[in-house]
Amino acid sequence: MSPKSDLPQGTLDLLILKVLAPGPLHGYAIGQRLQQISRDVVQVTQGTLYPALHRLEHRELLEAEWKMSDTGRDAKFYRLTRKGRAYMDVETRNWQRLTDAIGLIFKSAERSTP
Amino acid sequence: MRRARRTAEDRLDLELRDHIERQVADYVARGLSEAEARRRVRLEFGGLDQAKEHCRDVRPHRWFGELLRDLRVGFRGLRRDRLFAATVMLILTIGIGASVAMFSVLRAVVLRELPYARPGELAFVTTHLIAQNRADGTSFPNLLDWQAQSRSFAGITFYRRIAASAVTFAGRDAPQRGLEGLVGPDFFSLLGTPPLIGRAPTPTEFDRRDRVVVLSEGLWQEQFAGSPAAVGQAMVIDGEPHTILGVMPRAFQLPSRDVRFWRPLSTLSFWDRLKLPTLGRDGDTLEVIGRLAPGVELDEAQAELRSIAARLREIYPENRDVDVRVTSLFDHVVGSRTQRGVWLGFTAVLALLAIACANVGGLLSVRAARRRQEFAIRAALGAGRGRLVRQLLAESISLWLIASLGGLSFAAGVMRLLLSHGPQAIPRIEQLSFDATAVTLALLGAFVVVTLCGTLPSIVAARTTRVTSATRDGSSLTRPRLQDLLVAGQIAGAVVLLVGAVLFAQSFARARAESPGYAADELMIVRINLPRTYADSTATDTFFREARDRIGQLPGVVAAGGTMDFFMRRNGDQRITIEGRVIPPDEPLPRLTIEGVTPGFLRAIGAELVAGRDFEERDLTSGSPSVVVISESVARRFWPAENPVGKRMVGSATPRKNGTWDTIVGVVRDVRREGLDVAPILTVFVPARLRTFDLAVRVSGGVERLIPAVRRELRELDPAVPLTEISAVGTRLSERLSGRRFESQVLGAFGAIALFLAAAGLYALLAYQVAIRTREIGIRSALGADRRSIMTMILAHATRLTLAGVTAGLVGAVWTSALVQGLLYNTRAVDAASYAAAAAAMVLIALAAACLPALRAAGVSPITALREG
Repeated sequence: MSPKSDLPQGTLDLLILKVLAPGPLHGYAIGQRLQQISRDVVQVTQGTLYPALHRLEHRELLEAEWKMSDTGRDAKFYRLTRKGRAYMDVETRNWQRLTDAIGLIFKSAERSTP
Repeated sequence: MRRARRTAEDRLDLELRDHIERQVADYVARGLSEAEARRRVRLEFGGLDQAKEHCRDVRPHRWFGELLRDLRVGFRGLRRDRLFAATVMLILTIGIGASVAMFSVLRAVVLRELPYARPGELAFVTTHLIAQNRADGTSFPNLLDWQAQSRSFAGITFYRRIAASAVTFAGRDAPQRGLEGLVGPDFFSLLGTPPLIGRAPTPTEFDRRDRVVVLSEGLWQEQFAGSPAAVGQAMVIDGEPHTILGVMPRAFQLPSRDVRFWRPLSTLSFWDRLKLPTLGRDGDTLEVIGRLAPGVELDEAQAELRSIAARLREIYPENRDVDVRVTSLFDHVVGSRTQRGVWLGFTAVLALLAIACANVGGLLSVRAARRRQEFAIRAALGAGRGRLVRQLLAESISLWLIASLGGLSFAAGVMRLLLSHGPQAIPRIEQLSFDATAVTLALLGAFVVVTLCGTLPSIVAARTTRVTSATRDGSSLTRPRLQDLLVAGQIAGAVVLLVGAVLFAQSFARARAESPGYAADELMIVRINLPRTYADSTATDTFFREARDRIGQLPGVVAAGGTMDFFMRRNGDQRITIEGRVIPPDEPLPRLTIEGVTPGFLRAIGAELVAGRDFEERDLTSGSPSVVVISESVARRFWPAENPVGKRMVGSATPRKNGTWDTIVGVVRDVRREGLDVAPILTVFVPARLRTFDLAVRVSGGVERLIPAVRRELRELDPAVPLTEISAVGTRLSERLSGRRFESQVLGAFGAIALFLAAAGLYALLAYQVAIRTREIGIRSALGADRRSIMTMILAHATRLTLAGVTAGLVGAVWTSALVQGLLYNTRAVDAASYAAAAAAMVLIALAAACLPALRAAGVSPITALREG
């Protein structure tokens, strides 16, 4: 198994929202997508993923719907709410600013090194 | 609600399982066998329960929904442990119920203020006779002097109660009898209670002697069905029409709670006599109340009135024995006997409540200790402290909720019982109702005890043992000191209550066993009040004679005779003068009364003749020698060594001016009439004709049977005579003991409950200790301790606790004895036999309770104990 990296606080929420931006997914698929997109760097256990999903649902950033899935069983599909999308946009911009700032710091630190 | 929640739990389960299935399917697709895939998923997933717990934790805290959910969980937890839950609820129900009921009694009778304006300022003023050291009515001249000379009072007024005049209402037939209050001019304004409807008489109306009357709410409801049209209507009292001015509310109960109506004292011809200076200061008939001036205390007012009384003693020889006392009106109305009795009951219920709380506390903490493992495991599974506390709270609150409901319905039942069969002897008890403060206090108290005892021990246990205790018990964590103390404390409290129960049972039994001196169940009292139309004494005499003869001839009637008031508490302030003997004025004299009775009365009540003869008809005819009959106690006091029959005396402090004497013709045994617990006082009977009288009728074969016949005879004799009150003496005498019966029953019930609780507490503690010490006991017996020494070990512990508790309890009983002594009849509050009985009962029951766990301990097999350990 590839080495896991601890996610900074609050990042998981944003990642989940991002993964759900294209369309509804069930819990397992969200986990798989996270893993897949991050090329196995981000690995979320169920003990973290589901509480996060439920928390987002309770905060009304996500809404859920039980639908017949490919397995023939009912599965719980999560989807972004309008509030969730707005929250995601704001947080994405914040995140972008933060990483830009950190990038700048890294670069200038490199330059000043003799 | 329930379904929605359950599906929420189900959905969570479904969702997580769906995840697992997909993972498994993925692995299978990648080429693993199904079994291998499942094994791997299980490893990766961690605990399903743990994941669920985390998911539940992120649910939003909508407190009401949460509370409901927690409560449901709480009830579920209790259902798992039914016996425990039922026991705790039963104890709490009894504890809450008894304290709510008793506190409501305390509020209704003792704590509630009198229903008058600024009741704290109201004082009751009595004449105090110095030589006899007792209260008496006040004479009008003395009252006027007090009024004129005192500065301590904003106002002083007076009243007088008269047992019953004949009352009819315009347009209604049957005459009524009622207790009436004859009141002074400022009576209503001084008390300051607004009338329900109409108004109170004015001082002008008093002075003009207007024939006006104020009704009690009870009489108004009966006669006018609560109609406001009653005001202005006529009411005939003793043949005189009076105008109804208003109605006073039910709570207005002066002179006494059975008062039916009030009118100005000046409307009676009696008023003329009162005002006559010749009647003087001996006419001690009025009851006096005052309203203290602002800022004046009772004792200041009393000091001032006493100095006025001292001056009056100097001026008027008739006043030489007259002092004055001032008490609060409250103490006069409620009476110190009652107040102390009710406080005693309340103290007892507090003791019972404390025992119940200690018991519940013990049970809850034992249970908490037993659940250490459960909590340790749940904590290890990731349940946060918050969740555990919430669950414990939920269980405690569920317990408390059920017990509160149970307790309140229990209290309601007790109070209904008190109202219907309660002691008539307790004033104001008829106003008993659920008291908001009582309910709040009892429920809050129970809540605190239950939640603290239900959560704290487990929380402490869960914190200290998260790691260690998940493995196994650890027998040292039970804090035996505290639990031992709780049990010993319960035993001590129970012993105090038991001693009280024994003392009061004994006191009541002794009072009840007093012989009245005659067959009380075969004696009927017919109370007759003739209307004023019988002003003529011959008419009265004829009526009495005919009534007596008619009733006397009824089959089943043995004898009949009259006296003024059979059950009256007699003054006993009268004196006699004996021919040829000088009694020094300062010699202390026993209480003595002189009572007018008709011939036949002594025979009718069954007073046994010791010497001489009873009265005969001829003793009443004019010109015949005047005679008296004395009670045995008079004979013993004044003629201890000789036969008093034939001796001569008069019933006054000085010989008659005309030099005549009354001859003693008979001696009868003492009889109790005021109450079985009231020792008969010395009595000199004189033959008399009576205008108002109680007809004593001795029957054979029970009183009830004859009541209709007696009523019929009287109605035939004169339909205008008010409805008579007929009572069986036996019943009335036992009613007069109702206060004592009540005290005895309350303490008896509390004592029994306390005994049971203390024994159950001891049992629970020992059983628990045996359970957690199974391993130790197993080792001991493996090492060769035999059954007996193991039993001895347990029983010794029980005995130590019991003896410590009993000793503390007996000390407590001695300590509280001063509180109860005055309430006991013929019983000493520190009484070796009673104490021994209570202690023995406690020891026996406690040891019996200890035997079960001891036997179980002795039966522990070393092998199972060690294996389980």
